[in-house]
Amino acid sequence: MSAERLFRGEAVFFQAVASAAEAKELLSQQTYAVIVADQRLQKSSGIDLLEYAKQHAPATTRILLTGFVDSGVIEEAVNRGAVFRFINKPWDNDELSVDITKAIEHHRLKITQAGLLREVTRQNRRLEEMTSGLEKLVAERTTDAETSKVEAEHGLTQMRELVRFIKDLSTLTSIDELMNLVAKEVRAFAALRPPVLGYVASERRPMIVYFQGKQVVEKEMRHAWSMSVRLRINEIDDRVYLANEFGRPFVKVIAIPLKRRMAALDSDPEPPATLFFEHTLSDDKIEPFLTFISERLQPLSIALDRILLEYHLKYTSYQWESTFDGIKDPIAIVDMEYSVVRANRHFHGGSFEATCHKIFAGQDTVCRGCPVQSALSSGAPQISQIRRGPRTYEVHSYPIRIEGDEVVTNVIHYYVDVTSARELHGRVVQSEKMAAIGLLAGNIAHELNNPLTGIRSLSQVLLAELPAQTQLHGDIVEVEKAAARSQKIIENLLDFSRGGHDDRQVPVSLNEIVSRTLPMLKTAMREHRSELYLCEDQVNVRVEPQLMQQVVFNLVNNACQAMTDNGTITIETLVSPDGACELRVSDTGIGIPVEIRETIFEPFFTTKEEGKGTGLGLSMSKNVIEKFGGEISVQSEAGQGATFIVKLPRVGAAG
Amino acid sequence: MKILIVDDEPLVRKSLSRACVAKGHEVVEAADGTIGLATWREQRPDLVFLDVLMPGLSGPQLLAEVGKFKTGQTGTDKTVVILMSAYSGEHNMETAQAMGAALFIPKPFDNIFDVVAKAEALFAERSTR
Repeated sequence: MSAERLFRGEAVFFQAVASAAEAKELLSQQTYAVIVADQRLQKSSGIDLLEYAKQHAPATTRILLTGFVDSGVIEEAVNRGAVFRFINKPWDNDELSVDITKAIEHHRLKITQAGLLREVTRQNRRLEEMTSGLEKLVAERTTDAETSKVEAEHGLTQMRELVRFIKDLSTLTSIDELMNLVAKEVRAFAALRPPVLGYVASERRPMIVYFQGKQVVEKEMRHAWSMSVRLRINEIDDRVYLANEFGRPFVKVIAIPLKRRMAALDSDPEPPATLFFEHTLSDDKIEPFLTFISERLQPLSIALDRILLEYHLKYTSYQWESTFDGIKDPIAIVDMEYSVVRANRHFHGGSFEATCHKIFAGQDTVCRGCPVQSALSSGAPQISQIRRGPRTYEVHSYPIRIEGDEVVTNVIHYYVDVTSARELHGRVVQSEKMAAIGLLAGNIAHELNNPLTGIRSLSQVLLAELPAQTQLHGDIVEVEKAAARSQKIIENLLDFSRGGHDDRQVPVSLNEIVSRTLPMLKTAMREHRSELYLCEDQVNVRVEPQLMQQVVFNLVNNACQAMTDNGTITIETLVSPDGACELRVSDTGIGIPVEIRETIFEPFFTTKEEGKGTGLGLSMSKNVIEKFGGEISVQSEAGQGATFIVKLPRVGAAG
Repeated sequence: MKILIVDDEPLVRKSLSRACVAKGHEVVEAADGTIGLATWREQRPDLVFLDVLMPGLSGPQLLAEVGKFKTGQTGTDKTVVILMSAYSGEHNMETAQAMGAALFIPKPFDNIFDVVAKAEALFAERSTR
């Protein structure tokens, strides 16, 4: 059964057969764009048929109809039959026609590409043949020339020059080089201006190439030149065209069309590539020039053809490359050895000669969390996170199965920088945590303040009633003092946790900040010896007290956590030699290795176990101190503990 | 003067009570808002120390029940009210006066005798007006 019908606006010829045998018969007789096979065939399977088609008619695009999706069938179909598309039964007519259209396009693309490559190879061979043929000719003539030397002298030189020209042509790689060669070649004709070349670039853009001084310049034209394939001498149309495009008069022009073989591949005609020579040749000088150029016309056309074909091939891959380079996220294709096969501009600095971890993260070992192995072994897309210096990337790893390959050997890596998102999330968590602590502290403060009010007030009443200088009186004084101290702690806790509500910077003594914060750290400091040296001079700084308290809290808390057994924590305030206020918090812990000393102030850097630290304490402290116009630094020697130094500008007395 | 102390914290009642008695005042106590309202109506105190957060009626609810809230300071109830709270975020002098109290004292007190002295001063001022 056969049918021709209009398919999405195009005449497509369909032919249907009932068995694999008939299909094979037809495939051997003529060429088809697409073959659609059902998986269930009598005495055979669709995959078998498509495998046959792949071997005997490789350009035919293969589609498999399956009743149900079975990953085994899919894998077999892809590996054996290199199937282009699967269509599930029952199918949707619209989807089916889309798939078939795509298959036809796929087929066309394959044919065109194959044609282009074949043509390039063939033309190169022709050039080689021509060259060797001419060389032979020159050799023969040389022998002949011995008999009629003088007569042949002139002709021989010409022949040698032609051979050299053809050889030069075969090494050309660009239109620029071609233009320079042509210009050099015709230099003997003094009455010629440098050549102008018109050719049609990808997407049918008419281009004109010309000399601007010694420079070869190319520009896209609004209009194309004549469609004529005739050689034209001093015709008005060519003069008008060039005069309009260049905006200056052209007096005499010789137009030489270069026949492009590949133009025949396109159904729509386009103007032939044309060499224009503006000249002031007298009529009797035109003939020798035409003879000279016509000898060179064929090799010149072939060379131009080859260059344009290469341009076209490059242009197709260039389109993809520029698309990928336009993407701001790094993308790379990586093989199973972690070697970078291809990558976009944002991935590499230009070199491919290395592994992905070397290029991307600058390290000799595989990145922690690298998804390559799991993507290769599972064959399914994977997502994981890796770090590059201070930044975190989410790596999307997509395995690619190259047509015909049994196993996955390459993966596409798409890197998304999630550092800011993570940081933002961390800050939200941190501020929610602070808000929760604030609420809790408020509630606790209320609950504690009531009984504390009672204890302190009753102590005051008792003290008023008891005679002084008795032991009981002394004891109650202690109770009253303890209650007062407790009240102060609760007040501080409220201030501390309310951070953000009152964000005014006020002058306050660094000593006071420290004294108000330490009671909240009693538990953390319990296991260590602590030494406190508060400066006796005025150490006022302009800060937001709650934030500054959080900094002190973080530094002291970190110091405590850095020490495993009984260590000593030293807290010191002083006026530095340059007149700034300094807070120093030292521990006697393990110290900070030199390699992480730069990174400890970065968000999410933590040496604590998962869940114990947010990695935000020091980064938050750094932000806060810098906001107050100060700086924070660390001094440490391995095994000798660490000292964090906060430097803040000293201001006048509080008030 | 006759003083009513409404607070659910026993130590606060006891200390205030002893400080007031020591100054020669008559004191009645109530352990929550509901008892406080009943005692207020029955005893007609000159001055009330009133806590904000309590089981039963809260301080502001109690004031509304008494009619202080509606009539304001020019109303028929001439009782002087001192509102006390440990949760300073919610109330302040302004909100306290808006509901008919004469004074707001945040807890904890620094010195209980200062509190009693303030109460006496308020009462003296009210009596002479």
